[in-house]
Amino acid sequence: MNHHRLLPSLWANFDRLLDNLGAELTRPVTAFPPVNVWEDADAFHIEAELPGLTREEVNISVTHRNVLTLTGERKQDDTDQARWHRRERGFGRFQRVLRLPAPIDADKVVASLEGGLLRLTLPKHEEAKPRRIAVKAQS
Amino acid sequence: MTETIVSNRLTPRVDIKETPDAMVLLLDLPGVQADQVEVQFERGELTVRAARPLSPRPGRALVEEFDGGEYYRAFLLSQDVAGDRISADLKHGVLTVTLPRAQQALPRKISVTAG
Repeated sequence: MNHHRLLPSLWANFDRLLDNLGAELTRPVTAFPPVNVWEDADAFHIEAELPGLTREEVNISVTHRNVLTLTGERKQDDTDQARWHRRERGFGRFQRVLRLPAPIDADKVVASLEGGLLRLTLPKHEEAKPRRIAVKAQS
Repeated sequence: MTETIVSNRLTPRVDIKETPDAMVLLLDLPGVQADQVEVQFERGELTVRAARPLSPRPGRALVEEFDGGEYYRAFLLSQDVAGDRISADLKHGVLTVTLPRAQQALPRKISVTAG
């Protein structure tokens, strides 16, 4: 067995996996916030579940033309004289980084947060859009 | 006749706190409209149901970490709850249910008389 040969190829695969947004699927489901991401010809669409957060409490940034970062904090309810029987919702700072498979137009990103659901539309950069090539028929 | 098909059941995360005069439940219900939430209290059992529709996602899915369906969770409570004064409020996708303690359940000071 030639381990020296095997190893570099494994690393190459690993890098590709990290580059691929599909790798996100292997993350533990505890990643906060959970997201759904889909794409059509013109844009990427992201929905994130952020219950309890307001628009002012979520920061959205785009770097390297295709990396989206969501940061914020879920505040702790510190009501005096309260006895907690259950605490499943969690609190504290969070950061979620999503690497999109193609560059986006950061100036045209549209975001809304309503009822704890963040919706993002990230238009693809012109160079990333599929182009229709007209086929000329020879007459 | 239309019948609602019970779809995927989702369990909302909950925080439960007890204050001197009430039990307060906080449930994460992101993506839910207030008119789609049903809170019921019967024989000491509180149930919360809410429809969670998923947005149409035309195109190609890249990451899928949450699903639509119906949020459902039930809680058994002690008899000390004033069932007629329960209130529920949905804000930023968090449902707060306040269950005030029945008057007879509040601590009462019993005066001790000297014989």
